[in-house]
Amino acid sequence: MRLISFLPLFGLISALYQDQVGKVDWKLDVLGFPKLAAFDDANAQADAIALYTEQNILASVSAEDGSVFWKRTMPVSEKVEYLYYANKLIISISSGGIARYWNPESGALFKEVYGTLQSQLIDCARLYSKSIIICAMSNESGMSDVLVYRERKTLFETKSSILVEKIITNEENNLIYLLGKTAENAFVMEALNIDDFSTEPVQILSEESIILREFALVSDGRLVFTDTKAKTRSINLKDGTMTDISAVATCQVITHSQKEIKFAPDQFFGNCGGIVRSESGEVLDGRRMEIFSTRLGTVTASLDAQNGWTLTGVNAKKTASLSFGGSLVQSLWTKSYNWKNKEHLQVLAFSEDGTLFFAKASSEASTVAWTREESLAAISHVQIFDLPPEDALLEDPSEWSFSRRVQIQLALFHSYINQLTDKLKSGSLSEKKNGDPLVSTSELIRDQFNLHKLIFIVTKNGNLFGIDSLSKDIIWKRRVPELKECKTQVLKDAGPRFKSDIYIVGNCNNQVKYFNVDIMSGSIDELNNEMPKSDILRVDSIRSSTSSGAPALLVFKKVDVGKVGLEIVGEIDTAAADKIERTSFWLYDSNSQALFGGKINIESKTFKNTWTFQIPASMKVSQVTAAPASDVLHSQGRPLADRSVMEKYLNPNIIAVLAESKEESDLEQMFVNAFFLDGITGEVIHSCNHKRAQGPAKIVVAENWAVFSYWSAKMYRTEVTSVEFYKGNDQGNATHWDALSAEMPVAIQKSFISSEEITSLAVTQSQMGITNKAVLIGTKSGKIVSLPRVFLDPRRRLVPASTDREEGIMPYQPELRFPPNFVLSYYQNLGPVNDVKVAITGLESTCTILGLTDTGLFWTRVHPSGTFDVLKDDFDHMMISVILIGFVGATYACKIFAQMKMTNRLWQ
Amino acid sequence: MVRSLILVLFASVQCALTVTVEGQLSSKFAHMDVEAYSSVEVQLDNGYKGFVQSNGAFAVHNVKPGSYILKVLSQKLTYHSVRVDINAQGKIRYRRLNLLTLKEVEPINVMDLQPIEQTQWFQKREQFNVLDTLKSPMVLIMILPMVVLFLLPKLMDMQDPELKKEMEEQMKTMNKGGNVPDMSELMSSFFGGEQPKRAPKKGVKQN
Repeated sequence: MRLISFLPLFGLISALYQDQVGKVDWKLDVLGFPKLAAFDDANAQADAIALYTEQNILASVSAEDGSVFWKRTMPVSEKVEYLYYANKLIISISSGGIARYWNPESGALFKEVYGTLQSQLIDCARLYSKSIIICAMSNESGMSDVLVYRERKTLFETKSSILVEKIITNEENNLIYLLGKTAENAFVMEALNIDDFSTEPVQILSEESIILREFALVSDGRLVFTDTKAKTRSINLKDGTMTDISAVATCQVITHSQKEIKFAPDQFFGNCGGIVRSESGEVLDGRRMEIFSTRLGTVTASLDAQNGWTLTGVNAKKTASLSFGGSLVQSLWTKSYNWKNKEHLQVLAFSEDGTLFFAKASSEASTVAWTREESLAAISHVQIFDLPPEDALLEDPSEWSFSRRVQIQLALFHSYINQLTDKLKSGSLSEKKNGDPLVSTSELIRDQFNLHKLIFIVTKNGNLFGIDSLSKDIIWKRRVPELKECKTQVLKDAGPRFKSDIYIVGNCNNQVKYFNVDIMSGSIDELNNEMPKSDILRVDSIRSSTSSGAPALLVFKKVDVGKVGLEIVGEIDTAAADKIERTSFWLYDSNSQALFGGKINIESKTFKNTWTFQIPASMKVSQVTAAPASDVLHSQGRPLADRSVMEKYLNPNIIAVLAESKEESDLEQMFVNAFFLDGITGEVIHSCNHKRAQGPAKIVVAENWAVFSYWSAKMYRTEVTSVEFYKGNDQGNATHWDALSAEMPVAIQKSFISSEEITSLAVTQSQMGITNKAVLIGTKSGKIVSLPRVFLDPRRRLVPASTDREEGIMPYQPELRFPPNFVLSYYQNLGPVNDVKVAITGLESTCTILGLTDTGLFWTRVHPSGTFDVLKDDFDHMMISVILIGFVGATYACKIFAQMKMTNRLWQ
Repeated sequence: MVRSLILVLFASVQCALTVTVEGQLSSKFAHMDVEAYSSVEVQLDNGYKGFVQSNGAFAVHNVKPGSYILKVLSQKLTYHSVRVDINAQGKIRYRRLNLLTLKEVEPINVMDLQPIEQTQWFQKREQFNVLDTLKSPMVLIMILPMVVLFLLPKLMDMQDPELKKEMEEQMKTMNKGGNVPDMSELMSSFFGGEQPKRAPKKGVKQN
């Protein structure tokens, strides 16, 4: 009830309208590195392909264009081990023997079947004729349980008298062979009847134990394998005899996934030290061979010396050649089907650089139909760049003369008229735009409001991407293997003019790599300077005012325990050196958990350490952060109800350190600590301790406040603490912040309970800092919430004072709820949000955000105080014009009527 | 020695104990087609999760003993969150989530988990509505004087000669004070701008 009186405060919160969905936001689905794939081999026209990736995602993608039908992140406690596509259903079998039947197109879960779950999954096989899947599990007694998953019936469980290692099916003979070992370690075979799953007597194949690691099934009923002594042997499953194969005696058997004798290839192949041989010993072309045993027959793919693949279809009749970029193909899957009396192949290939290729091949044509960039599942660095402005805007408006201004306005008017006539000619004037209504052009130039950006991404496997923020298209992609597994950093190069070339530095296993990248075209050059090699803490850049080349680098290194050294790469002129020597630096060493502050001396190439802040070894640092560099503070104080002003503590150098205890079991010993330091003096300006709390802890700092979240281990909930720093009531008149003479701030602090598990925190930014701030919360449940900061005001009181309403402070409520219209990602389930990146736009009210998750990117924009500087998109221009014209018309009509009335009166 | 060994064994068995949390979503609000739950997931803390089947049933597997918050993530509906407590013996207790305290035990039926409402993710567009227009203060300010001007005189009995006389007198006194310009006159002078017309008009009035 009390809240109701404060409701007018939130009238400004602007949620999305339903018809805006997809206009200003987009989601880029990433699946990760595929481990398993399944095609519907019984249906030639099936559009869906099932995929399971290393990122624990199960997905269905369209064979038509590679778009994602649906994707599900599997629970952390299970991994999908087998994936089938049978009877128009995708069947996933997870560790523990959980079978799930999914609809390929909608992702609806048709059925979930599981046994006792305490046992371990060993092997599975599929019966083609009955759409049954048989799996063997190991149970506590050391023997195996056999589970039979039937689509329309309940789970059938039976016990085997052996510990099963492999399941082979033979539907022609109505038998399932279970190969495994007895308690005495003898290699045995047990046969099951398909109809009633009754067992036949155990048959001993070999007295000594055999591990079937590399094996292949041959259609005459032989199982060929490489034994522990690297010898090729075969078992005839029909009579149980074992023979050595001499022709390819020392070769490794090339495996395939077929477990049904009927569909198995009619011979096997061996890889003999890079040479592929057939069963008879004949040498085949290619250095690598993959065998796919499909329902129609065997398809082989062999890799030639030029990195091209030659595919041989069923009956070895048709061949097709394909190439998948320049990178090494890691895994390959194929489907063979007949269409219009011709054999067609579908090939899915995943290459080392993280690209997923899908190709269609027939005897006539072989083409790559689509590709997906899956390396975006592991991102190491993201930065959002403004696009280059149009020529006229490149100049500083304050330097314009009157005639120049008129010229520019005329040019703008001219281009507007041109656009209009173009639209009229093509008849697209009345067409409704599908894209962002505020962005006028889709070209890669800065739009009127600077809403259109370029997203620059470096992935962990060394790929660089440039992504258009309007269309989510990948504009360019470059592979830089040198940046694999590196901590990448974009060097700040602040200047008044736009530059499309940037400099990036990679810290790769303590080796510095220096690159020059053009973000518009993606051209990249490595700068081969002499680079320092060990214990790098931080890299910074200095641009000399005179030279236009690559900026010089300041490389901070760890010399000794608690000592920081400095190396300089490149030339620094005296003006720049003078400036840099007056600057204070702080750096964080994550290995020793210490922060260092001090100044540098260019001449002697030393770092003069003035303060050190050591986090005790009993704590684990969760995050070290400072306010974003682009953070602008608009008002210096906060007016109170008694007409006085509470001055904000405007220290621009606050460093926040969030640390948690290493304790994992004892509740009483757990804690989370937050320290706030001054970056110049190293003084602790505030610290707080939360007992019985643990990570994951996140913190965000902006203006004169900070917000951090942690898990309360005692109360089993996520809590959020908000801290604000004030100077007091006396107004300082200084134009600069003086760290040395500053007094300690007054800290106001309050904690709240969050109804969501928080995985990342960020804050909105604006050009002038006038717009209210909103805290952007990324949650475990896959949402990005924009929470106005008034909710996190530490001055909220449990018993509100009469002045609170005037100051706009809500009464305190312990629980922070996130109403659905605060959720920027609305009903989309993004998956746990790892980070949220914020970029300033030309509109004061608006900033754009990019949410990063393991399974994709999400782009949208936020208006923390509503869209006060831009017309609403449903503003009806037509209605306004009609009313205006109507009024003018009515006025003239009035005039005529008045005249008529007057003439009439005169005549009387 | 033996006793401690047994204890250790017992402890290790307990550590390995995991349970399956099962439940069923109520079909309230959800249309009973196959796709109704196609993207609905059930989430527990620490990465445990389960998927909702076409009939609304869900199962979260391999959950270790502890206290968890069970959330239903649905695109369309908002569900009550459930506090799930699993003790070391694997016994599960379900209760309504109250983040403020752990002590309160209000049982909740997970075998028929009720949705609270349809989730309002979006703002509603304002649509043109005559009633809304009439309610707006500007329109009210315009309409009320109209009512006073046109309706009130009609309500009064104009046949009564005494009242008529009184009114006329009142009008006279009012007209004396302020010279209120005629609206049409003002308009025509504003847009027409022909000043000389004013003189004859006055003449007419005098006549």
